[in-house]
Amino acid sequence: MQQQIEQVLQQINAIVIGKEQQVKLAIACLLAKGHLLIEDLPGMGKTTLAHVLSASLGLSYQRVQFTSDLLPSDVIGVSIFDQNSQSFTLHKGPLFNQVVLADEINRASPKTQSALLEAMEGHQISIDGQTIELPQPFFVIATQNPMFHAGTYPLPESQLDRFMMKISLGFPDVAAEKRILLSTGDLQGLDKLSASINIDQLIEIQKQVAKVHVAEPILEYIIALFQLTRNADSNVNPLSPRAGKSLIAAARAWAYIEHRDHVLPDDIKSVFCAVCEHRISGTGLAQQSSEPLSQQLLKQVDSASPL
Amino acid sequence: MILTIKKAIKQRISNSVDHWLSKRMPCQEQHQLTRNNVFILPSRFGLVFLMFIVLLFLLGTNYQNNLILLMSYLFISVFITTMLYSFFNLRGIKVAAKGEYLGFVEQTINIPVTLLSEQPRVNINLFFYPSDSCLQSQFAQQITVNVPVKFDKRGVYQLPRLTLESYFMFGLFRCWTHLAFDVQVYVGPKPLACSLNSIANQPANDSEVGNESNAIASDNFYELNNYRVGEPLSQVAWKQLAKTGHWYSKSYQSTNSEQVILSLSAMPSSQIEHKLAQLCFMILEYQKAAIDYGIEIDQRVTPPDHSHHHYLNCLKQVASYGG
Amino acid sequence: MAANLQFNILANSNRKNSSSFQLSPNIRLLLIISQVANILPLVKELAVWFIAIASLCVIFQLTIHLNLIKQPSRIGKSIVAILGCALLVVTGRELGLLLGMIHLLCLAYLLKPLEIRNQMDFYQLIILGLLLLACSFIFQQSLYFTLPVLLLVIANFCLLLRYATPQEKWQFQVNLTTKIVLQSLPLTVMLFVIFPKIAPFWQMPTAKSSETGLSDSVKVGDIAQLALSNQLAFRVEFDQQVPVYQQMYWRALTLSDFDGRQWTRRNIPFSQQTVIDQQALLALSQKASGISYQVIAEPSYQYWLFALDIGVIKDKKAGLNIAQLQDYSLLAQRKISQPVSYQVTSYTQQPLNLERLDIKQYTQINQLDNPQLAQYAQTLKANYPSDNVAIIQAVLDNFREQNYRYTLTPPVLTNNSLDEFFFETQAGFCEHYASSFTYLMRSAGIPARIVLGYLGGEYNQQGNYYSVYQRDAHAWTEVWLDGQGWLRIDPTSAVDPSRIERGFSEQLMLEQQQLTAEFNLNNVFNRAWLLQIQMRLDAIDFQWTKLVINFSQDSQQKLLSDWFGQYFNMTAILVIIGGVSFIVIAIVLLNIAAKRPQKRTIWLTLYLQAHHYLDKLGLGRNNDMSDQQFIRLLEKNNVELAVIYKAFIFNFNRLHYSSLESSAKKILIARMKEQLIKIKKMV
Repeated sequence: MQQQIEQVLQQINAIVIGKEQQVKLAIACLLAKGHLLIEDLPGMGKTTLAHVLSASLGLSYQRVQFTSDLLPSDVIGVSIFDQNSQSFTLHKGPLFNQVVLADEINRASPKTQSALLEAMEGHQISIDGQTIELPQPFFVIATQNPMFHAGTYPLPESQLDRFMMKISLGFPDVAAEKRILLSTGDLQGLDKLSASINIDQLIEIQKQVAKVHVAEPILEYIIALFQLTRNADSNVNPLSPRAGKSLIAAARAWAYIEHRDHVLPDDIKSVFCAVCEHRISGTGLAQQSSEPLSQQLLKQVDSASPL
Repeated sequence: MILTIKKAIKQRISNSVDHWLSKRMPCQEQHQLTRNNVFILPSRFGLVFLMFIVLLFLLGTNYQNNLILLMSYLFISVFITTMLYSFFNLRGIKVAAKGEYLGFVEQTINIPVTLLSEQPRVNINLFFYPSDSCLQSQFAQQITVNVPVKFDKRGVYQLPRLTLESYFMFGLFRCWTHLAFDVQVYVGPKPLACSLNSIANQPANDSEVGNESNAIASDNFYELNNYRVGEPLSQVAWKQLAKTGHWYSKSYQSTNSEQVILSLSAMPSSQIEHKLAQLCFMILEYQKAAIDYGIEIDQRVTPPDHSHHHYLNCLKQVASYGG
Repeated sequence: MAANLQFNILANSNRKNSSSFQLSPNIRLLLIISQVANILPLVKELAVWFIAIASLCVIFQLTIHLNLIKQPSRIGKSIVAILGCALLVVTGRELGLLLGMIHLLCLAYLLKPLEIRNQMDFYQLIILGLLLLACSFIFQQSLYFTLPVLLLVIANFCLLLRYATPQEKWQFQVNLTTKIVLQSLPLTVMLFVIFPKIAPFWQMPTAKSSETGLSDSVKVGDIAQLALSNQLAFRVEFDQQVPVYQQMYWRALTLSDFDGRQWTRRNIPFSQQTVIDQQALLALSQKASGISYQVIAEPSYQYWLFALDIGVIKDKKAGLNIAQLQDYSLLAQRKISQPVSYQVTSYTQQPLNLERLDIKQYTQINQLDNPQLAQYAQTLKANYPSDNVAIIQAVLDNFREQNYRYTLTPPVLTNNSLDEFFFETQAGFCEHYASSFTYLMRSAGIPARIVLGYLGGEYNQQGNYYSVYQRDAHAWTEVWLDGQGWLRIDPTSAVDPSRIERGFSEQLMLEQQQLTAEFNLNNVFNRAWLLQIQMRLDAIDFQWTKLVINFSQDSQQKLLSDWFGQYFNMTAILVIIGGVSFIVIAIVLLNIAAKRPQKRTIWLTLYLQAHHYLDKLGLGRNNDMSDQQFIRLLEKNNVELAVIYKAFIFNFNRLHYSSLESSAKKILIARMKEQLIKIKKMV
């Protein structure tokens, strides 16, 4: 199974160039049954990443561009009276896909946002009193522009909590950028991508990920980290137990990708920023330090505990 | 010969003590005094007092005098009680210091150390070892103390361990601790005066040196920048402050576009240390005059500016040169 | 709340160097006051000239303090010191070793303030003061002396604290010091009770204080001074049975030699004293039941101890060696220089005939000393031939019938003549009567001797004990009758029976009360009330003397065996002390151990060891470094090492973070060990 994951990683990395870490995080997020928030400037390859991910995992994919006039029904679907059959038929919205890319989620109205987020949480959608299960696996990749762009509705902290990870692709390094510039630039190659894994396998992997062993010292490490955020004098939002569960799930997935059946502190460190940064810095407007808060937390805990 | 051996042994011992200390009490921003980092031993007076107690005991025993014996027992009990008291006088204090500090050789640098306590404390001496002077304090709640420290050599130093000691109660015990803080001290050379005119590489500026003080006024307004602490108040854009509540500082563009670059290699002295000292002097002078200046040290150029931040940056470079 | 803060910048010289050490004027003044206070308890023992010097010193320092004169030069100081020492040397012989030393100590204490050049000098001065306070206990130990001294001790500590915290209010210092001393008291008491009392290591010089109480020679007229003294002689606590007041004749010593003027006893060293037949005493104690009681004698600087006849000391004590002499008196080996207590059983009904002695020496007398008395004796002998009892009766009748008077202020006798007293003045006190009676008996050929001791005692209701004062001193006569042994005859009783029946002191008090009652009834009440308080205070002092001052090895043993059972002894105390300290140390060690990371696993030890080796190479691993980062760092330095470390850390991670079977763990540990050895080799 792990070889297949490895293959998927290779496939994606061949197309999304120079972003191994982020790709790995995204996969980990998927394996941990979480949803992913990507915050970045336009044109950094968010869409490509989402597309490649779905293609290489053999999942159905749909992209929704969020705009300020987007309505909830545009996302989840709507029942329309079909005159032929004299009945209401359900027109499924783009959410009924395994991978959904919600582009620029912070440009939509809060109403639409919350419709999406509810679906993410419950893995089901209610339309006209009808409850419909969403396909498995269900993976939402939301992107948002950095906050200072005008005309956006920033996601509130409570909504941010629904995303397991927030990552940012960032600018590629010089070598990678050269390759990007030279590449054909279209997504033609994507169609040729063959899924190296099927859905059943993916679900099986997700089950295995949940079984990865988390030892006592790891739990203590996490608790130490979390305690730090809950101190009265810390200037960050305290982390909730849900955040802790997400952190462990993500770390398990990471360990699984690393071919291990147990979680190491390094796994925690690798995923901690992605999992916790958006939770502790909140809407992040006050944050000005060059170093992410989560990184500071890690340093503090590491210097205090020898292992 | 013996002296050198003695010195070597002393060095060895102090090294191992340092090592032990750094393991036991690592560098931190804030320390809380507990029984794990507070040491307590009888002072010289305490030892004399103990000897006195033994003497009393002998006296009492030999005279079979219960009252003298009682007195010796009372003193030993007081001795023990005092030990607890002097320990409790230090225990629980939180000591904090952080940041970076800048100073010059042989100049007293004051490091603000914050002491926090829930109960009132008495007779606490604070000093950096080795140091000429110390501070004695008693406080309740919280205070910040400027503890002086001095260095004889230019360089970047980790702040030496802060010694907190107390002979509180009767002077019978010395209760102390050595705390390490993650504080960097940049010690620049002692500024060495040199003629500004002798700096050759910016001839255009020479004429301006005399009237730097009105240089600002005569220059043209250029732009508004975010105000940074340390910039002269005269440059604050008060109107904007009143309107928006934000602090801006006005910056001016010099009519003479030549920028002052103080180059280390251009300093008149031949010795590198003297050169550094002269450069240091120049930086101070320019900063005082609020003229934009940059420095160049070994081809590394820091672009001209005269903000406080820039000033500190320049001095840091001078302090850490070669280190 | 505003922070209460205060800062003084201290020059380093103030802390360590001595060059500019200066006490603040405030402390200086307090120091002078404390000096005076610390010397006060000893003032009774100091020579008059020394007190003069001391006052001069104090005044001198005060003038310096007030800036009236400058600090004396070094020469001036030396002159004063040398002068004091010289005076001490001159008077040293007179003072004796102990007092000489104490004078020297006081001198040093007084002169030291002129020489305070650093902090240690100040501390030394305080210690000297405390030592002087301790020394004052050599001379006095009553509770009402101890309490002020304790206050002085506290005051000295206050001064120390004041020196340390000059900025605080004086209440702070007083409160804190008192608190500390009070908190120390339980431990003090515990140490006092538990800590083994040790026999003296070596002989110390004793004080050459003037003897008080009875002397071992009697010139007619001596006891009168004692009779005016209200000083306490001893106290008695009866176990159960209390003898009637008239029977409380406390024997101290007997006098058998008369040289015409004074009665004396031969001065014999302790070891050569004839001791009473122990077998006879033993037989006595088996035969009859006695009255048992405890005597707590005040220091008299003499050897005599007190008991009712026939007093037997049952359990010998360690610190106090008492001999029972043939004349039924008790003699201590060493001078009674501090309160002593001893347990006595008295067989008051038994005849005093236990000794076999040469009776003849008790009839030796020079007839020429008092010819009239001798003449009178001959007449008596002629009147009552061979009836000694009748002779005695006749003399007593004579006392009773003639106009003899009991008075404390008798007319002066020329040459201490008994004739003059007996036939002319006819006024005197016990000693006169006892002397003349004994002289008469001897002249008549009846063996007789004078007994010195005390009569009666004042009952203290609060403490249920009797106090015997010096004013209760008494002299009486013993005559030897064949077949009956020594018989106590108190001629005073014939003259003034009330003296015997109610005691001297009560008689006096009664008179005083009668006097005052005429003026003011209220006054009587007041006096009674005062008396009540006095009694209460005396009872407390009695307990203090009994329990604290006389707490000896034996009482410690007894107390502890009462508490902890019969088989308790010093070894047990040592075991307990050892045990307690062991437990304390164990707790401390356990505490330290608990602070260490709990149960280090083998792999963790191996891991730490490996890093210890790598540290030596300068390849320290920061805590926030990840495995990968560290391996990369190693690769830069030593590729081979990095490879081994990679495997090592992989094994460690599996052991530390995953759940494994114990067999798998063993294999991994073994591998880790091998890898560790490799790392060690490479280092």
